Amino acid sequence: MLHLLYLLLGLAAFAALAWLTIALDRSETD
Amino acid sequence: MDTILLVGLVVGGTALLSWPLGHYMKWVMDPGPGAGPRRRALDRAFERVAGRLGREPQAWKRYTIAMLAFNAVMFLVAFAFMALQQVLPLDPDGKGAVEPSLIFNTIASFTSNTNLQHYSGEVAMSYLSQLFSLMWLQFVSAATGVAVLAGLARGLTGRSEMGNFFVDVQRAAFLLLLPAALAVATLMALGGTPMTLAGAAAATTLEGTEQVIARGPVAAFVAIKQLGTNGGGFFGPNSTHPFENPTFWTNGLSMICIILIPMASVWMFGRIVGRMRHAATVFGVMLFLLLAKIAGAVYFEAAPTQAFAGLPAVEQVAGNVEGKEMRFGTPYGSGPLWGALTTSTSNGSVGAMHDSLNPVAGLMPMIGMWLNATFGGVGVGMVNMFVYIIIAVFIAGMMVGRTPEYLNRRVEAREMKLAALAVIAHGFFVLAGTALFAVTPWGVDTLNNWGPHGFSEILYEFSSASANNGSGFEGLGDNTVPWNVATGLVMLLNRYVPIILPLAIAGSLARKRATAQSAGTLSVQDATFGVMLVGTILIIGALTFFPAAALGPIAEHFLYVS
Repeated sequence: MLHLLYLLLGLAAFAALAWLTIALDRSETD
Repeated sequence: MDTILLVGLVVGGTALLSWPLGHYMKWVMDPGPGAGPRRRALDRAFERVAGRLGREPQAWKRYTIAMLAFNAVMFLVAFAFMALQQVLPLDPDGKGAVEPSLIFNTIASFTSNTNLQHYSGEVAMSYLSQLFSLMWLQFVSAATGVAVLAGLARGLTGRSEMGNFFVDVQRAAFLLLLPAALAVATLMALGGTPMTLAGAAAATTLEGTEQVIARGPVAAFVAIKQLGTNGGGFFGPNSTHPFENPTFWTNGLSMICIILIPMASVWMFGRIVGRMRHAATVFGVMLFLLLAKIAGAVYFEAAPTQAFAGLPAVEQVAGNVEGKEMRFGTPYGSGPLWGALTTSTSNGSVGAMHDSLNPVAGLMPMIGMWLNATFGGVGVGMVNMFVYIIIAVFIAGMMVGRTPEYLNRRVEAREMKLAALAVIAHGFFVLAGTALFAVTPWGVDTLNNWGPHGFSEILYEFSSASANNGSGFEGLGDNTVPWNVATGLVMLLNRYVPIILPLAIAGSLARKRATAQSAGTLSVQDATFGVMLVGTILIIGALTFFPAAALGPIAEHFLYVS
């Protein structure tokens, strides 16, 4: 169970970084 | 004299080697329409491997998302291998399961090209984890850095598409890192580094006791550890271990490998953007700052350590010899030299105990990690320098009343905001993490030294994590859940934020109309700009990190002096 939590923590960090990328792209085209 | 000769041979010799390698890296990463049929056939093979994903040209957003998705899959696969190592093969010594927060920290560390290690490989990791989790990540994380620099450079030439990340990462891995690692691993094995899948050896000592001697596929691991600015050791003591770095010659080879590809990355960048004189100016700035750090480390390490002060039996005649491997020759040449090289390039392997360096000598590796652009990591060092260049261009343009332009495109408010964010992110992760752990039991309870030195240990750990360096000051009991989670997150976030923001800047510049070069254009390829760039880097670094340095190594230095 703990393994899964730490795995999700890492993947959540990648998801946040992808969100940052998309937000930066939108701010450029706005 | 020995030290100057050693520095000249290692740094000067590698600088010379970096020129042809930069040429080769351009051929590998950006062959262009004039490439021969064999080179084009290689790219077609890479496109076939990547399938549909490998055929689409990617603008900055798609290139970045592809890089993040690929790295997330790297994280997932390597995590699974390590979490299951106790039931998987290639574990002749029965290493058992790894604690979950340590798996998170280790995989975050190797995915982000950091290689901060809160474990000892010979105690905790099976051969399968060492090879298929850690060594595989050492290849693909370094290849990610080279790919990102190639994409950034293409964006700066005005192409709206930066290339294809999935093809770029294969180019870097198969045509650059793999052949180079094979050659270096062979030389390391010839130099005495073990290369075997047999389990630990049992030996009987002269006193008749049994001794277990850890070994394994070390030569392969060490080669990519150094070439890919990874730095993670097969054994806990890293390159101070006689099996990772047996002789003076393997020590010299290791130091050359630490800086070779980061140096060549600058030339590759220059060739892709078609501005070799600009690349030479940037190379000169990086070289100057690197030599300044080496000189500082060597000079301050020439004084005897205060740790032995008052011990009547100890007479120190060769500088600070504590924590040095005497088999590498000149004690304050190889230790501080390696320390400056490994922290200027985000490598992080260690050839001496950094905790034992004299206070101001220990500050030099920290400065290397704080600036993180004096050659820096494979590919990403030049990406970090690009951020400083954008800031320097803007400030210099404002100062002399010229239009801030970089490679014929105007640098405006958006680019400056993104560059400022990239610089602030590094300072935030280092200083906020250090402040939090310096006042809570998470950090205080793990210290083995008090006062300024204890503060330096916490500061160094977060600097190493945020700069994706991975070296340890040590003296810290850092295999705890708070340390594993905090540094794991810092490594992941500050690996990719300083990649995303420069790619966004390049994307933004690529959308602008090219301006014609005129008498009013600020030159980025002369000595004046070089001086401006050095000043920008030093002022930003000092404003961000000097207060923390004053509380740690500088305070400790004055305590010793008094």
